[in-house]
Amino acid sequence: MTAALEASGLGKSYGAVSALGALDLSIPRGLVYGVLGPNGAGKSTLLRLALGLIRPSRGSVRLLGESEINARVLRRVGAMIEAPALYPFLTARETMRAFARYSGLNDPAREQAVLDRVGLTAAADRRAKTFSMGMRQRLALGAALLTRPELLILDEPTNGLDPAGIQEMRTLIRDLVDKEGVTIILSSHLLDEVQKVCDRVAFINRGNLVSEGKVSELVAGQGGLFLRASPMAKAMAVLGARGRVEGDGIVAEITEDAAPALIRDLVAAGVDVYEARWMTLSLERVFMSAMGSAA
Amino acid sequence: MIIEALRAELYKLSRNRWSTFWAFGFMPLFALGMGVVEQIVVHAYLGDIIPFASPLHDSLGGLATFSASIFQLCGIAGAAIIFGGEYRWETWRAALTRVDRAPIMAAKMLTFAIAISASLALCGVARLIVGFIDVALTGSATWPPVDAGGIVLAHLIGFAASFLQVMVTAAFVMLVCVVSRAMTAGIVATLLALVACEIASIRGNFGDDPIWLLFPNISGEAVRQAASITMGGRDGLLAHFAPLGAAALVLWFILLFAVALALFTRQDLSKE
Repeated sequence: MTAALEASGLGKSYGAVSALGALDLSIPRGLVYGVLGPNGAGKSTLLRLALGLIRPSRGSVRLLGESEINARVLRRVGAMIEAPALYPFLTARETMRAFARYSGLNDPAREQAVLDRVGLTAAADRRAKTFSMGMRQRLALGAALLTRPELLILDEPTNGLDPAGIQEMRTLIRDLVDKEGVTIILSSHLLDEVQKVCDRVAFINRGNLVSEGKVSELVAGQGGLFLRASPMAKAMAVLGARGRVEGDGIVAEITEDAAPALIRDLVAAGVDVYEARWMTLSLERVFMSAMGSAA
Repeated sequence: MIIEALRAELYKLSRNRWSTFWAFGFMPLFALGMGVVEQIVVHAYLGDIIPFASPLHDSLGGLATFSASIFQLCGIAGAAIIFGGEYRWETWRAALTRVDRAPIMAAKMLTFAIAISASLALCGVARLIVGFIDVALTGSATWPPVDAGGIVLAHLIGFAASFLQVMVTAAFVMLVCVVSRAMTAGIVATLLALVACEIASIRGNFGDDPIWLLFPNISGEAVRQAASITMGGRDGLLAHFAPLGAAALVLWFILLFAVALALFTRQDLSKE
Protein backbone atom coordinates (compact mmCIF):
# COMPACT_ATOMS: atom_id res chain seq x y z
CA MET A 1 0.00 0.00 0.00
CA THR A 2 1.34 3.46 -0.85
CA ALA A 3 2.20 5.84 1.96
CA ALA A 4 -0.30 8.46 3.05
CA LEU A 5 2.36 11.12 2.67
CA GLU A 6 5.83 10.74 1.25
CA ALA A 7 8.34 13.59 1.29
CA SER A 8 11.56 13.24 -0.61
CA GLY A 9 14.19 15.90 -0.12
CA LEU A 10 11.29 18.27 0.46
CA GLY A 11 12.27 21.82 1.27
CA LYS A 12 10.91 25.33 1.29
CA SER A 13 12.81 28.60 1.47
CA TYR A 14 11.57 32.15 1.66
CA GLY A 15 14.47 34.17 0.35
CA ALA A 16 17.44 33.33 2.51
CA VAL A 17 15.29 31.79 5.22
CA SER A 18 14.83 28.03 5.05
CA ALA A 19 11.48 26.97 6.54
CA LEU A 20 12.02 23.33 5.68
CA GLY A 21 15.44 21.83 4.88
CA ALA A 22 15.40 18.70 2.78
CA LEU A 23 12.95 16.41 4.50
CA ASP A 24 12.71 12.69 3.80
CA LEU A 25 9.67 11.25 5.49
CA SER A 26 7.20 8.48 4.78
CA ILE A 27 3.95 8.37 6.73
CA PRO A 28 2.20 5.01 6.49
CA ARG A 29 -1.55 4.62 6.27
CA GLY A 30 -3.97 3.45 8.92
CA LEU A 31 -2.53 5.14 12.01
CA VAL A 32 -2.28 8.42 13.87
CA TYR A 33 1.00 10.09 13.02
CA GLY A 34 2.29 13.00 15.06
CA VAL A 35 4.53 15.67 13.60
CA LEU A 36 6.25 17.38 16.50
CA GLY A 37 8.65 20.23 16.82
CA PRO A 38 9.14 23.61 18.45
CA ASN A 39 7.65 26.79 17.00
CA GLY A 40 9.15 27.52 13.61
CA ALA A 41 10.35 23.93 13.18
CA GLY A 42 8.59 23.62 9.83
CA LYS A 43 5.53 21.55 10.83
CA SER A 44 2.92 23.85 9.26
CA THR A 45 5.16 24.36 6.23
CA LEU A 46 5.24 20.59 5.73
CA LEU A 47 1.46 20.36 6.00
CA ARG A 48 0.89 23.31 3.63
CA LEU A 49 3.30 21.76 1.13
CA ALA A 50 1.40 18.49 1.37
CA LEU A 51 -1.86 20.31 0.62
CA GLY A 52 -0.44 22.25 -2.31
CA LEU A 53 -0.99 25.60 -0.60
CA ILE A 54 2.68 26.44 -1.08
CA ARG A 55 5.09 25.18 -3.70
CA PRO A 56 8.30 23.37 -2.73
CA SER A 57 11.64 25.05 -3.34
CA ARG A 58 13.24 21.61 -3.68
CA GLY A 59 12.30 17.96 -3.52
CA SER A 60 8.85 16.48 -3.94
CA VAL A 61 5.84 15.32 -1.98
CA ARG A 62 3.37 12.55 -2.75
CA LEU A 63 -0.06 12.55 -1.15
CA LEU A 64 -1.96 9.22 -1.13
CA GLY A 65 0.43 8.09 -3.83
CA GLU A 66 -0.24 11.05 -6.13
CA SER A 67 2.63 13.31 -7.08
CA GLU A 68 0.40 16.04 -8.48
CA ILE A 69 -1.45 17.75 -5.66
CA ASN A 70 -4.79 18.84 -7.08
CA ALA A 71 -8.42 18.85 -6.01
CA ARG A 72 -8.91 15.28 -7.28
CA VAL A 73 -6.58 13.93 -4.59
CA LEU A 74 -7.34 16.65 -2.05
CA ARG A 75 -11.02 15.66 -2.02
CA ARG A 76 -9.84 12.40 -0.44
CA VAL A 77 -8.18 14.47 2.30
CA GLY A 78 -9.69 16.51 5.11
CA ALA A 79 -7.56 19.29 6.51
CA MET A 80 -7.57 21.75 9.33
CA ILE A 81 -4.48 23.94 9.16
CA GLU A 82 -3.60 26.42 11.92
CA ALA A 83 -6.52 28.57 13.12
CA PRO A 84 -9.96 27.42 11.91
CA ALA A 85 -10.72 28.88 8.48
CA LEU A 86 -14.39 29.88 8.54
CA TYR A 87 -16.68 32.42 6.91
CA PRO A 88 -17.86 34.70 9.74
CA PHE A 89 -21.22 35.47 8.08
CA LEU A 90 -22.25 31.82 7.72
CA THR A 91 -23.91 29.72 10.40
CA ALA A 92 -22.48 26.31 11.24
CA ARG A 93 -25.09 24.64 9.02
CA GLU A 94 -24.43 27.08 6.17
CA THR A 95 -20.69 26.53 6.55
CA MET A 96 -21.23 22.81 6.02
CA ARG A 97 -23.44 23.55 3.01
CA ALA A 98 -20.87 25.89 1.44
CA PHE A 99 -17.98 23.45 1.88
CA ALA A 100 -20.17 20.57 0.68
CA ARG A 101 -20.86 22.52 -2.51
CA TYR A 102 -17.16 23.22 -3.01
CA SER A 103 -16.57 19.48 -2.65
CA GLY A 104 -19.32 18.58 -5.11
CA LEU A 105 -21.50 17.02 -2.40
CA ASN A 106 -25.24 17.35 -2.14
CA ASP A 107 -26.06 15.40 0.98
CA PRO A 108 -27.83 17.41 3.72
CA ALA A 109 -28.08 14.28 5.88
CA ARG A 110 -24.28 13.98 5.87
CA GLU A 111 -23.95 17.66 6.80
CA GLN A 112 -26.28 17.12 9.77
CA ALA A 113 -24.49 13.93 10.79
CA VAL A 114 -21.15 15.74 10.85
CA LEU A 115 -22.61 18.57 12.93
CA ASP A 116 -23.91 15.95 15.36
CA ARG A 117 -20.55 14.20 15.47
CA VAL A 118 -18.61 17.34 16.36
CA GLY A 119 -21.21 18.35 18.95
CA LEU A 120 -22.57 21.45 17.23
CA THR A 121 -26.19 20.41 16.71
CA ALA A 122 -27.51 22.93 19.22
CA ALA A 123 -25.41 25.73 17.71
CA ALA A 124 -26.03 24.78 14.07
CA ASP A 125 -27.94 27.97 13.28
CA ARG A 126 -25.54 30.38 14.97
CA ARG A 127 -23.07 32.37 12.92
CA ALA A 128 -19.46 31.25 13.11
CA LYS A 129 -18.37 34.75 14.20
CA THR A 130 -20.22 34.25 17.50
CA PHE A 131 -18.42 30.96 18.24
CA SER A 132 -15.77 30.44 20.88
CA MET A 133 -12.36 29.16 19.76
CA GLY A 134 -13.29 25.65 20.80
CA MET A 135 -16.54 25.75 18.79
CA ARG A 136 -14.69 27.15 15.77
CA GLN A 137 -12.23 24.29 16.10
CA ARG A 138 -15.09 21.78 16.15
CA LEU A 139 -16.74 23.35 13.12
CA ALA A 140 -13.50 23.33 11.15
CA LEU A 141 -13.01 19.69 12.07
CA GLY A 142 -16.56 18.96 10.92
CA ALA A 143 -15.85 20.63 7.58
CA ALA A 144 -12.74 18.48 7.24
CA LEU A 145 -14.77 15.33 7.92
CA LEU A 146 -17.51 16.21 5.45
CA THR A 147 -16.18 14.21 2.51
CA ARG A 148 -15.41 11.05 4.51
CA PRO A 149 -11.67 11.56 3.94
CA GLU A 150 -9.12 8.75 3.74
CA LEU A 151 -6.54 11.06 5.25
CA LEU A 152 -7.10 13.76 7.84
CA ILE A 153 -4.47 16.44 8.40
CA LEU A 154 -4.91 18.29 11.68
CA ASP A 155 -2.69 21.14 12.77
CA GLU A 156 -3.01 21.75 16.51
CA PRO A 157 -6.52 20.23 16.68
CA THR A 158 -6.93 20.70 20.44
CA ASN A 159 -6.20 24.44 20.43
CA GLY A 160 -8.89 26.26 22.36
CA LEU A 161 -10.62 23.11 23.56
CA ASP A 162 -11.45 22.60 27.23
CA PRO A 163 -10.30 19.37 28.96
CA ALA A 164 -13.57 17.60 28.12
CA GLY A 165 -13.25 18.77 24.51
CA ILE A 166 -9.67 17.50 24.35
CA GLN A 167 -10.80 14.10 25.58
CA GLU A 168 -13.65 14.06 23.02
CA MET A 169 -11.18 14.98 20.28
CA ARG A 170 -8.87 12.17 21.37
CA THR A 171 -11.73 9.67 21.29
CA LEU A 172 -12.88 10.94 17.90
CA ILE A 173 -9.37 10.65 16.44
CA ARG A 174 -8.92 7.10 17.72
CA ASP A 175 -12.40 6.10 16.49
CA LEU A 176 -11.71 7.48 13.03
CA VAL A 177 -8.51 5.46 12.79
CA ASP A 178 -9.55 2.28 14.60
CA LYS A 179 -13.13 1.95 13.33
CA GLU A 180 -13.14 3.76 10.00
CA GLY A 181 -9.60 3.19 8.79
CA VAL A 182 -8.80 6.87 8.37
CA THR A 183 -5.15 7.94 8.49
CA ILE A 184 -4.50 11.00 10.62
CA ILE A 185 -1.49 13.27 10.54
CA LEU A 186 -1.49 15.75 13.38
CA SER A 187 0.83 18.32 14.76
CA SER A 188 0.53 19.47 18.33
CA HIS A 189 2.44 21.09 21.12
CA LEU A 190 0.60 19.04 23.73
CA LEU A 191 3.03 16.16 23.93
CA ASP A 192 1.07 14.36 26.60
CA GLU A 193 -1.93 14.30 24.24
CA VAL A 194 0.24 13.21 21.34
CA GLN A 195 1.60 10.35 23.43
CA LYS A 196 -1.95 9.25 24.26
CA VAL A 197 -3.29 9.37 20.74
CA CYS A 198 -0.43 8.87 18.25
CA ASP A 199 0.98 5.58 17.02
CA ARG A 200 4.11 7.04 15.44
CA VAL A 201 5.78 10.43 15.64
CA ALA A 202 8.40 12.44 13.82
CA PHE A 203 10.44 15.13 15.53
CA ILE A 204 11.26 18.07 13.30
CA ASN A 205 13.61 20.87 14.24
CA ARG A 206 14.76 23.80 12.08
CA GLY A 207 13.22 22.19 9.04
CA ASN A 208 14.97 18.87 9.42
CA LEU A 209 13.90 15.44 10.65
CA VAL A 210 15.53 14.73 14.00
CA SER A 211 14.05 11.33 14.77
CA GLU A 212 11.07 9.20 13.90
CA GLY A 213 9.48 6.06 15.22
CA LYS A 214 6.69 4.27 17.06
CA VAL A 215 5.68 6.07 20.22
CA SER A 216 5.78 2.83 22.20
CA GLU A 217 9.36 2.17 21.06
CA LEU A 218 10.54 5.72 21.65
CA VAL A 219 9.39 5.71 25.26
CA ALA A 220 10.01 2.02 26.04
CA GLY A 221 12.94 0.89 28.21
CA GLN A 222 14.11 4.42 28.77
CA GLY A 223 12.28 5.11 31.99
CA GLY A 224 13.50 4.97 35.55
CA LEU A 225 12.65 3.37 38.88
CA PHE A 226 11.15 5.76 41.37
CA LEU A 227 11.95 4.78 44.95
CA ARG A 228 10.74 6.08 48.28
CA ALA A 229 13.22 4.60 50.68
CA SER A 230 14.87 5.29 54.05
CA PRO A 231 17.50 6.17 54.87
CA MET A 232 18.05 7.96 51.58
CA ALA A 233 21.79 8.38 52.10
CA LYS A 234 22.24 4.63 52.35
CA ALA A 235 20.07 4.08 49.29
CA MET A 236 22.10 6.61 47.32
CA ALA A 237 25.28 4.84 48.39
CA VAL A 238 23.95 1.60 46.88
CA LEU A 239 22.84 3.35 43.66
CA GLY A 240 25.95 5.44 43.16
CA ALA A 241 25.95 7.35 39.88
CA ARG A 242 22.74 5.62 38.80
CA GLY A 243 20.63 7.50 41.35
CA ARG A 244 19.43 11.06 41.69
CA VAL A 245 17.23 12.62 44.33
CA GLU A 246 13.90 13.91 43.00
CA GLY A 247 11.46 15.41 45.51
CA ASP A 248 10.99 13.05 48.44
CA GLY A 249 12.30 10.07 46.51
CA ILE A 250 15.08 8.78 44.33
CA VAL A 251 15.03 8.02 40.64
CA ALA A 252 17.25 5.11 39.68
CA GLU A 253 18.28 5.33 36.04
CA ILE A 254 18.36 1.64 35.20
CA THR A 255 16.65 -0.66 32.72
CA GLU A 256 13.34 -2.18 33.71
CA ASP A 257 14.95 -5.66 33.81
CA ALA A 258 17.42 -4.56 36.47
CA ALA A 259 14.75 -3.30 38.87
CA PRO A 260 14.14 -6.50 40.94
CA ALA A 261 17.88 -7.01 41.54
CA LEU A 262 18.29 -3.41 42.64
CA ILE A 263 15.43 -3.69 45.12
CA ARG A 264 17.00 -6.88 46.53
CA ASP A 265 20.37 -5.07 46.89
CA LEU A 266 18.71 -2.16 48.70
CA VAL A 267 16.94 -4.46 51.16
CA ALA A 268 20.13 -6.43 51.71
CA ALA A 269 21.92 -3.15 52.49
CA GLY A 270 19.36 -2.37 55.22
CA VAL A 271 17.32 0.17 53.27
CA ASP A 272 13.58 0.20 53.94
CA VAL A 273 11.74 0.46 50.59
CA TYR A 274 8.29 2.03 50.98
CA GLU A 275 7.50 2.48 47.29
CA ALA A 276 9.05 1.29 44.05
CA ARG A 277 7.36 2.37 40.84
CA TRP A 278 8.54 2.04 37.23
CA MET A 279 8.22 5.38 35.42
CA THR A 280 7.84 5.29 31.69
CA LEU A 281 9.82 7.99 29.97
CA SER A 282 7.38 10.60 28.73
CA LEU A 283 7.30 11.64 25.10
CA GLU A 284 8.04 15.12 26.36
CA ARG A 285 11.37 13.96 27.76
CA VAL A 286 12.15 12.09 24.53
CA PHE A 287 11.24 15.25 22.63
CA MET A 288 13.42 17.47 24.80
CA SER A 289 16.27 15.02 24.52
CA ALA A 290 15.91 14.83 20.73
CA MET A 291 15.70 18.61 20.41
CA GLY A 292 18.70 18.99 22.71
CA SER A 293 20.85 16.63 20.67
CA ALA A 294 19.73 18.32 17.47
CA ALA A 295 20.67 21.79 18.74
CA MET B 1 -15.50 21.46 -10.91
CA ILE B 2 -16.24 25.02 -11.98
CA ILE B 3 -19.98 24.37 -11.61
CA GLU B 4 -19.46 23.09 -8.06
CA ALA B 5 -17.36 26.14 -7.21
CA LEU B 6 -19.97 28.40 -8.79
CA ARG B 7 -22.72 26.84 -6.68
CA ALA B 8 -20.62 27.39 -3.55
CA GLU B 9 -19.78 30.98 -4.47
CA LEU B 10 -23.39 31.88 -5.26
CA TYR B 11 -24.51 30.24 -2.02
CA LYS B 12 -21.96 32.21 0.00
CA LEU B 13 -22.94 35.45 -1.69
CA SER B 14 -26.63 34.80 -1.04
CA ARG B 15 -25.93 34.21 2.66
CA ASN B 16 -23.71 37.29 3.03
CA ARG B 17 -26.85 39.42 2.89
CA TRP B 18 -25.71 42.86 4.01
CA SER B 19 -22.60 42.92 1.90
CA THR B 20 -24.52 41.63 -1.10
CA PHE B 21 -27.20 44.27 -0.63
CA TRP B 22 -24.70 47.13 -0.55
CA ALA B 23 -22.70 45.72 -3.43
CA PHE B 24 -25.45 44.75 -5.82
CA GLY B 25 -28.83 45.76 -4.42
CA PHE B 26 -28.22 49.33 -3.37
CA MET B 27 -27.63 50.91 -6.80
CA PRO B 28 -31.01 49.82 -8.30
CA LEU B 29 -32.78 51.08 -5.18
CA PHE B 30 -30.76 54.29 -5.33
CA ALA B 31 -31.64 54.71 -9.03
CA LEU B 32 -35.32 54.19 -8.24
CA GLY B 33 -35.37 56.30 -5.10
CA MET B 34 -33.45 59.22 -6.57
CA GLY B 35 -35.54 59.05 -9.72
CA VAL B 36 -38.81 59.22 -7.79
CA VAL B 37 -37.56 62.13 -5.65
CA GLU B 38 -36.30 63.88 -8.79
CA GLN B 39 -39.71 63.52 -10.49
CA ILE B 40 -41.62 64.75 -7.46
CA VAL B 41 -39.32 67.76 -6.97
CA VAL B 42 -39.29 68.68 -10.67
CA HIS B 43 -43.02 68.38 -11.14
CA ALA B 44 -43.92 70.02 -7.80
CA TYR B 45 -41.58 72.99 -7.97
CA LEU B 46 -40.50 73.46 -11.57
CA GLY B 47 -43.48 72.19 -13.52
CA ASP B 48 -43.20 70.34 -16.80
CA ILE B 49 -39.93 71.88 -17.94
CA ILE B 50 -39.62 69.04 -20.42
CA PRO B 51 -43.15 68.58 -21.72
CA PHE B 52 -42.78 64.92 -22.58
CA ALA B 53 -41.56 61.78 -20.87
CA SER B 54 -39.54 59.03 -22.49
CA PRO B 55 -39.48 55.86 -20.35
CA LEU B 56 -37.42 53.80 -22.79
CA HIS B 57 -34.70 56.41 -22.97
CA ASP B 58 -34.81 56.48 -19.19
CA SER B 59 -34.35 52.70 -18.98
CA LEU B 60 -31.43 52.88 -21.44
CA GLY B 61 -29.96 55.57 -19.21
CA GLY B 62 -30.51 53.29 -16.22
CA LEU B 63 -28.26 50.70 -17.81
CA ALA B 64 -25.52 53.33 -17.77
CA THR B 65 -25.78 53.77 -14.00
CA PHE B 66 -22.33 52.25 -13.45
CA SER B 67 -20.63 54.34 -16.16
CA ALA B 68 -19.04 56.83 -13.76
CA SER B 69 -16.25 55.71 -11.43
CA ILE B 70 -18.00 56.93 -8.30
CA PHE B 71 -21.11 54.90 -9.13
CA GLN B 72 -18.92 51.82 -9.63
CA LEU B 73 -18.03 51.94 -5.94
CA CYS B 74 -20.73 49.43 -5.01
CA GLY B 75 -19.63 47.02 -7.72
CA ILE B 76 -16.01 47.44 -6.68
CA ALA B 77 -16.96 46.58 -3.10
CA GLY B 78 -18.81 43.52 -4.35
CA ALA B 79 -15.81 42.39 -6.39
CA ALA B 80 -13.51 42.97 -3.41
CA ILE B 81 -15.74 40.81 -1.20
CA ILE B 82 -15.72 38.03 -3.78
CA PHE B 83 -12.02 38.15 -4.69
CA GLY B 84 -10.49 39.45 -1.46
CA GLY B 85 -12.76 37.79 1.08
CA GLU B 86 -10.80 34.55 1.23
CA TYR B 87 -7.63 36.52 2.09
CA ARG B 88 -9.44 38.51 4.75
CA TRP B 89 -11.09 35.51 6.41
CA GLU B 90 -8.05 33.27 5.75
CA THR B 91 -10.31 30.70 4.14
CA TRP B 92 -8.24 29.89 1.06
CA ARG B 93 -6.74 26.93 2.88
CA ALA B 94 -10.22 25.50 3.47
CA ALA B 95 -11.54 26.17 -0.04
CA LEU B 96 -8.47 25.10 -2.01
CA THR B 97 -8.47 21.62 -0.52
CA ARG B 98 -11.76 21.12 -2.40
CA VAL B 99 -11.43 23.00 -5.67
CA ASP B 100 -8.44 23.81 -7.91
CA ARG B 101 -7.27 27.39 -8.16
CA ALA B 102 -8.27 28.23 -11.73
CA PRO B 103 -11.86 26.90 -11.45
CA ILE B 104 -12.46 28.71 -8.16
CA MET B 105 -11.29 32.06 -9.55
CA ALA B 106 -13.31 31.51 -12.72
CA ALA B 107 -16.32 30.69 -10.55
CA LYS B 108 -15.78 33.87 -8.56
CA MET B 109 -15.69 35.92 -11.75
CA LEU B 110 -18.87 34.22 -12.99
CA THR B 111 -20.52 34.91 -9.64
CA PHE B 112 -19.64 38.57 -9.94
CA ALA B 113 -20.86 38.62 -13.56
CA ILE B 114 -24.22 37.13 -12.55
CA ALA B 115 -24.66 39.50 -9.60
CA ILE B 116 -23.65 42.63 -11.49
CA SER B 117 -25.83 41.64 -14.45
CA ALA B 118 -28.82 41.43 -12.15
CA SER B 119 -27.88 44.76 -10.58
CA LEU B 120 -27.50 46.43 -13.98
CA ALA B 121 -30.76 45.01 -15.28
CA LEU B 122 -32.54 46.20 -12.13
CA CYS B 123 -31.05 49.68 -12.60
CA GLY B 124 -32.61 49.69 -16.07
CA VAL B 125 -35.95 48.54 -14.66
CA ALA B 126 -35.74 51.14 -11.89
CA ARG B 127 -35.28 53.96 -14.39
CA LEU B 128 -38.09 52.53 -16.57
CA ILE B 129 -40.41 52.76 -13.54
CA VAL B 130 -39.23 56.33 -12.97
CA GLY B 131 -39.93 57.01 -16.64
CA PHE B 132 -43.52 55.79 -16.29
CA ILE B 133 -43.96 57.92 -13.15
CA ASP B 134 -42.79 60.82 -15.33
CA VAL B 135 -45.39 59.83 -17.94
CA ALA B 136 -48.11 59.82 -15.29
CA LEU B 137 -47.09 63.23 -13.97
CA THR B 138 -46.51 64.80 -17.39
CA GLY B 139 -49.53 63.29 -19.03
CA SER B 140 -47.75 62.47 -22.25
CA ALA B 141 -45.01 60.22 -23.52
CA THR B 142 -42.73 59.93 -26.50
CA TRP B 143 -41.46 56.69 -27.90
CA PRO B 144 -38.31 55.97 -29.93
CA PRO B 145 -38.72 56.10 -33.72
CA VAL B 146 -37.64 52.48 -34.10
CA ASP B 147 -39.41 49.13 -33.92
CA ALA B 148 -39.39 46.75 -30.94
CA GLY B 149 -36.33 44.95 -32.31
CA GLY B 150 -34.38 48.21 -32.38
CA ILE B 151 -35.39 48.98 -28.81
CA VAL B 152 -34.32 45.55 -27.57
CA LEU B 153 -31.05 45.77 -29.51
CA ALA B 154 -30.30 49.21 -28.11
CA HIS B 155 -30.91 47.96 -24.59
CA LEU B 156 -28.70 44.92 -25.18
CA ILE B 157 -25.89 47.14 -26.49
CA GLY B 158 -26.33 49.53 -23.56
CA PHE B 159 -26.26 46.64 -21.15
CA ALA B 160 -23.17 45.17 -22.81
CA ALA B 161 -21.35 48.51 -22.61
CA SER B 162 -21.82 48.88 -18.88
CA PHE B 163 -21.38 45.17 -18.22
CA LEU B 164 -18.04 45.00 -20.02
CA GLN B 165 -16.83 48.18 -18.36
CA VAL B 166 -17.69 46.86 -14.89
CA MET B 167 -16.14 43.48 -15.70
CA VAL B 168 -12.86 45.22 -16.55
CA THR B 169 -13.09 46.94 -13.19
CA ALA B 170 -13.78 43.59 -11.49
CA ALA B 171 -10.74 42.01 -13.14
CA PHE B 172 -8.65 44.93 -11.87
CA VAL B 173 -10.04 44.40 -8.36
CA MET B 174 -9.17 40.72 -8.64
CA LEU B 175 -5.61 41.55 -9.66
CA VAL B 176 -5.13 44.02 -6.80
CA CYS B 177 -6.63 41.60 -4.26
CA VAL B 178 -4.32 38.78 -5.42
CA VAL B 179 -1.21 40.97 -5.40
CA SER B 180 -1.98 42.74 -2.11
CA ARG B 181 -3.85 39.84 -0.42
CA ALA B 182 -6.16 42.53 0.98
CA MET B 183 -9.80 43.32 0.37
CA THR B 184 -9.45 47.00 1.28
CA ALA B 185 -6.60 47.48 -1.18
CA GLY B 186 -8.86 46.12 -3.91
CA ILE B 187 -11.44 48.82 -3.18
CA VAL B 188 -9.15 51.80 -2.62
CA ALA B 189 -6.65 51.15 -5.42
CA THR B 190 -9.39 50.44 -7.96
CA LEU B 191 -11.45 53.51 -7.12
CA LEU B 192 -8.37 55.73 -7.33
CA ALA B 193 -7.39 54.13 -10.64
CA LEU B 194 -10.87 54.75 -12.09
CA VAL B 195 -10.94 58.38 -10.98
CA ALA B 196 -7.44 58.86 -12.41
CA CYS B 197 -8.59 57.31 -15.69
CA GLU B 198 -11.54 59.69 -15.92
CA ILE B 199 -9.38 62.74 -15.26
CA ALA B 200 -6.63 61.61 -17.63
CA SER B 201 -9.03 60.76 -20.44
CA ILE B 202 -11.17 63.92 -20.56
CA ARG B 203 -9.84 64.77 -24.02
CA GLY B 204 -10.83 61.30 -25.20
CA ASN B 205 -14.50 62.35 -25.17
CA PHE B 206 -13.98 64.39 -28.35
CA GLY B 207 -13.60 61.21 -30.37
CA ASP B 208 -10.69 62.42 -32.48
CA ASP B 209 -8.25 59.62 -31.77
CA PRO B 210 -8.94 55.91 -31.09
CA ILE B 211 -5.93 55.76 -28.74
CA TRP B 212 -8.23 57.09 -26.02
CA LEU B 213 -10.14 53.82 -26.22
CA LEU B 214 -7.37 52.39 -24.06
CA PHE B 215 -9.28 54.03 -21.22
CA PRO B 216 -12.18 51.71 -20.31
CA ASN B 217 -14.47 54.62 -19.48
CA ILE B 218 -14.02 56.05 -23.01
CA SER B 219 -14.54 52.60 -24.58
CA GLY B 220 -17.69 52.07 -22.53
CA GLU B 221 -19.01 55.51 -23.49
CA ALA B 222 -18.41 54.77 -27.18
CA VAL B 223 -20.55 51.63 -26.98
CA ARG B 224 -23.23 53.43 -24.96
CA GLN B 225 -23.46 56.17 -27.58
CA ALA B 226 -23.92 53.46 -30.22
CA ALA B 227 -26.80 52.06 -28.16
CA SER B 228 -28.42 55.48 -28.03
CA ILE B 229 -28.13 55.87 -31.81
CA THR B 230 -29.65 52.42 -32.32
CA MET B 231 -32.74 53.73 -30.53
CA GLY B 232 -32.90 56.89 -32.63
CA GLY B 233 -30.86 59.11 -30.38
CA ARG B 234 -28.57 61.88 -31.55
CA ASP B 235 -25.13 61.02 -32.87
CA GLY B 236 -22.30 61.03 -30.33
CA LEU B 237 -18.69 61.96 -30.91
CA LEU B 238 -17.52 58.50 -29.90
CA ALA B 239 -20.23 56.30 -31.42
CA HIS B 240 -18.21 55.44 -34.53
CA PHE B 241 -15.58 53.85 -32.26
CA ALA B 242 -18.13 51.48 -30.67
CA PRO B 243 -16.83 48.18 -32.18
CA LEU B 244 -13.25 49.13 -31.30
CA GLY B 245 -14.40 50.20 -27.85
CA ALA B 246 -16.13 46.87 -27.22
CA ALA B 247 -13.01 45.02 -28.39
CA ALA B 248 -10.82 47.14 -26.12
CA LEU B 249 -12.99 46.32 -23.11
CA VAL B 250 -12.92 42.60 -23.90
CA LEU B 251 -9.13 42.68 -24.32
CA TRP B 252 -8.64 44.61 -21.09
CA PHE B 253 -10.78 42.06 -19.25
CA ILE B 254 -8.91 39.08 -20.70
CA LEU B 255 -5.53 40.64 -19.97
CA LEU B 256 -6.28 41.60 -16.36
CA PHE B 257 -8.04 38.33 -15.60
CA ALA B 258 -5.24 36.26 -17.14
CA VAL B 259 -2.51 38.10 -15.23
CA ALA B 260 -4.42 37.82 -11.93
CA LEU B 261 -5.10 34.13 -12.54
CA ALA B 262 -1.48 33.41 -13.47
CA LEU B 263 -0.27 35.11 -10.29
CA PHE B 264 -2.86 33.35 -8.15
CA THR B 265 -2.09 29.87 -9.46
CA ARG B 266 1.57 30.41 -8.53
CA GLN B 267 0.94 32.17 -5.25
CA ASP B 268 2.26 30.67 -2.04
CA LEU B 269 -0.51 30.68 0.51
CA SER B 270 1.76 30.37 3.52
CA LYS B 271 -0.36 33.00 5.20
CA GLU B 272 -3.43 34.34 3.48
